Amino acid sequence: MRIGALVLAASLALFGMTQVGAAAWVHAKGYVAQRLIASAWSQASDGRAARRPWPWADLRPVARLTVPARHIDLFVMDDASRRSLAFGPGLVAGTAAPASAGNTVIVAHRDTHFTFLKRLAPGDEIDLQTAGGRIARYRVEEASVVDRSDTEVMEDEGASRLTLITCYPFDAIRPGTALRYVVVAARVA
Amino acid sequence: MWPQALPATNANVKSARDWVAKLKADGGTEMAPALAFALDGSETPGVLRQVVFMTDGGVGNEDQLFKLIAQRLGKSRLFTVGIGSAPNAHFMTKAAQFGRGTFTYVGDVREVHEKMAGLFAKIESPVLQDVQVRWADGSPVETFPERVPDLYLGEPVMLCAAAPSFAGTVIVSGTLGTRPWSVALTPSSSPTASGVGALWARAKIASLMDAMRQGGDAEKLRTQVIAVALEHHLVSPYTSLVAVDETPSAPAGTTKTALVHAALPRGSGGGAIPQTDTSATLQLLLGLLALAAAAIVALIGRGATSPRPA
Repeated sequence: MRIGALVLAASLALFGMTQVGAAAWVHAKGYVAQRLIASAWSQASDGRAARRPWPWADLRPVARLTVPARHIDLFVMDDASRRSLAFGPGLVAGTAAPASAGNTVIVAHRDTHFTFLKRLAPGDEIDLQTAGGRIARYRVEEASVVDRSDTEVMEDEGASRLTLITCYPFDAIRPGTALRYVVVAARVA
Repeated sequence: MWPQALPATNANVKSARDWVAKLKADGGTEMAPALAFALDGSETPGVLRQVVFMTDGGVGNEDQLFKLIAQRLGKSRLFTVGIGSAPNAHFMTKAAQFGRGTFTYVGDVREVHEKMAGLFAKIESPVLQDVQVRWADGSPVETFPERVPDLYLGEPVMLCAAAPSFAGTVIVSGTLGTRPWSVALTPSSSPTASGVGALWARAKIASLMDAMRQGGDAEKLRTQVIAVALEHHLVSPYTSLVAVDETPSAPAGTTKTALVHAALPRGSGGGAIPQTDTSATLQLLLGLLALAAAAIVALIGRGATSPRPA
């Protein structure tokens, strides 16, 4: 094999492996973080304040989101910044606390934790459990696609509801879309 | 340049222009020596001495400079010009008032020509100097400003006065060029305007504060300022407006304390719903493509070097 072809093949292989590694890292981080948070959560459910999931974490779990029919079990963090979303869904600051009156808005990545949103249909039930052990049940009413500037979906109209948001389209290759997929669920119990 | 004012002959003007063109600006601004140099108390009979003080620098030692102007002004007039945002507008306005001139503010270098042309057009044509107002019955009337400023072309004489009655004739006098001049005016009995009292009171407070700045009895002046400010409901260094909410509140015992979540202000939320996608898919695709390309390159490379069957 000529030296030029060898170098080209080696660099392509190296680049390919870093890219695949980076993609795998995104998914691994999302998965491992959720497992660590689950352990922090079980301690919190004993009545103590939720501790940090890992020693240098600057976020805490505030709710456990489950969709029994779809075998979804996620821990929601108190921060919806880009960095925190790598670890799990985040409660948007300024929106209602989980299981309280008002509009609770939770966002997560379309390609990791919230991929299941596309399968949610009206009538599906979502449970939100607080650190205090209270469980609120919501029923999906509708799903829609909006522009990222349509922040009305995050506003509080008084009624208790849960709004789950992720990026749209789900299978887009390039990141940075301006569209959001919004699932609105009303409190039923 | 020259220690005293010279006639504006062509030669003198040219020499002054050349001198200014050679100036190099650097360092801080020393206001006091410049003011002391220009305000030397000298006067030329029949000519009004007008000093223009121009700066783009900040002014700190206000009170010292006010004293200097008040002491050394003599018969001169001081006009202040502030360029840019650095000059202290309060100082420049007050200095012009003590100097019996006006303050010109030039916010932008592009405005210099227009603003300075206006100023020079004005100071080239003083109409009436030493303006005085004598009231009808000779009674002492408190007027502000206490010393009426010179009258320039196209400007009115404006002053605020408080007296039991303004019936009768007012005599306004002054010096027109070198000749004395006066006019008798009969104030028209305008309907009572609500803002006039406050206008007068504001001028009075400013004048009392000036007196304090020049070393008046602080305690006595303070009492006077408070009295005027309270009577006219004005904000002063010693008085403030306080709003008292008279909305009825719930009777004691019927209230309950609860935590409520702070809702996002309408239309806020950072202006957008958070971004919730990663580049994982793109990276995965790129990575797989690169690995496939590497495999193809490797295969072709091996094919090219393997010995051909005979």
